[in-house]
Amino acid sequence: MEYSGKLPTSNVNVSKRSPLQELCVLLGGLLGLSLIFYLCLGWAVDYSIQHISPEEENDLYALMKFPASEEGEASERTLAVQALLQELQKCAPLPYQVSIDVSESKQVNAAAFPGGHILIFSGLLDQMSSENELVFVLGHELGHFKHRDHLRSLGRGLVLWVMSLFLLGPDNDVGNFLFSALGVADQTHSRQQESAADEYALEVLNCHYGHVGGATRFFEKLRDLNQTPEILKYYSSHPSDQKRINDLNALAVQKNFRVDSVKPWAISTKQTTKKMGHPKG
Amino acid sequence: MDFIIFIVLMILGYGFGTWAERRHYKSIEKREMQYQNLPTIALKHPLPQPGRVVKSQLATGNVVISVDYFKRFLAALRNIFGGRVSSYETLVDRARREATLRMKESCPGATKIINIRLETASLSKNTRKGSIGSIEVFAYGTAITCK
Repeated sequence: MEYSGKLPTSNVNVSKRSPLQELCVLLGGLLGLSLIFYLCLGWAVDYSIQHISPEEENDLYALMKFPASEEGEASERTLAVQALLQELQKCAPLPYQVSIDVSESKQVNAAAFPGGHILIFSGLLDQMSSENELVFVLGHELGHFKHRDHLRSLGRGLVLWVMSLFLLGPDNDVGNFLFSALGVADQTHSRQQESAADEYALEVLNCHYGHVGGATRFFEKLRDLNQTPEILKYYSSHPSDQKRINDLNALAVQKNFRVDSVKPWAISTKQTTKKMGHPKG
Repeated sequence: MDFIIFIVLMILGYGFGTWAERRHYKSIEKREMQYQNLPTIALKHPLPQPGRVVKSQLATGNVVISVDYFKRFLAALRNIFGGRVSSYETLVDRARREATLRMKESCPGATKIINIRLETASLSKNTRKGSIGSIEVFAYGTAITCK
C-alpha cells in the first residue's frame, strides 16, 4: 500500500467559542454573585453595628495596633488640640473615651479608629488658619464616631477580604480584580458617610461658637490646591470639595446658622495632598 | 490604580496573545503541509516495506509555550465554575504540533518516524504573581531511512 499524506481539514482539539464571550459570561456571573453576597453581608454589618456597644468595641479592637504619635513629650500643639477636643465633647456627647494623637507627617489627613482614637497628621494642622476650621475637622471625625462609620468601613473591608480569601486564596489575580471592582462600587456608600459627618461637624461648630464661620474655609483651600479631573470622581471616597462647600452653605441657611468672624490659629504655608476622612478597611 | 493596571494587562494579553497565536498557527499549518509526506507512526516496529533500512536515529523535538495574562485569568475563572478550560486548549494543541514538527525537522532525509512518543510537563506549576505559567512538550521517536 502506497502511503499518501493527508492533513485533517478541521481542528477538533480546539473549541470554536470566542474567548471574549467566555470571559463576559464567567466574569458577569462571578461579579453578580459576589455583589449579591457582598451587599447581603454589608447589610448584616450595618445591622449588627447598632448592637455593638462601645465597651464591646473596645474589647474587640483591644488587640489591634493603631498608629500613634512619636514617643516622648507631647508638643504644645498636641496638648492644645487635646484640650480643644475635650471642650468639643460637651457639644458632641459620645459614649466614647475619645483620644487624639498628632502624627508628624506631611499628609493633610485625619482618621477615626475604633475605640475612640483620632489620629491627626501635622500636615493638616499646618493648613489651619483658624481654630474654627480645626473644630470643624474634629467635629467631622466625631461625626464618624457618632455614626459608627469606622466600624462600618472596617466591617465591610473584612467581609471583602474574607470573601476573596475563601473563594480564591491569597494574592490571586481574580481576587485582586474583585477587590478593586467592589471597592469602587462601595465609594458611593462612603461619600454618603462623609456628607453625614460634615453635617454633624457643622452642628458641633455651631454649638461650640454659636455660629458657623470658617466651616468651609478648609475645603476652599483644598479645592484651590488640588483640582481632580471629573472622570476620577467616581473613584473618590470623598465628595468633591466644591460639593461639600455647597452642601454646607445650603445646610447653614436651612438651619438658620449665623456666620461670624473666626478665631485665629497657627498659620503655615505647607502644600496639601489629601483630604481628611476616616480609614478604609 | 491596580484596576487600571489589570485592564491594561488584560488588553495586552489578549492583543498580543491572539496575534502570536494566529501567527503560530499559520506557520504550523504551512510546515505541516511541507512535512506531510514524512509519516509518524506510534508502532514500535516498522511495517513490512520495500527496500531495507540503511539508517535509524533518535529524532527529538521540544517546545515551551507560555500562557498570556488573558488566558490565565480566563482559566482562573474556570477554576471557580468548572468545565472545559478552552483557553488552554489552543496552548496545548500548538505545543504538541510544534514539537512534532520540530522532531520531523531534526531528521532531514528520513523515510518515516516510528515509535513516536509525546511527553508533556508544565513549567512553574505555581502560577502565583511573578512566576510564569508555561507548558513544555517533548516529542521523540526513531527516524528510519530506507533505500
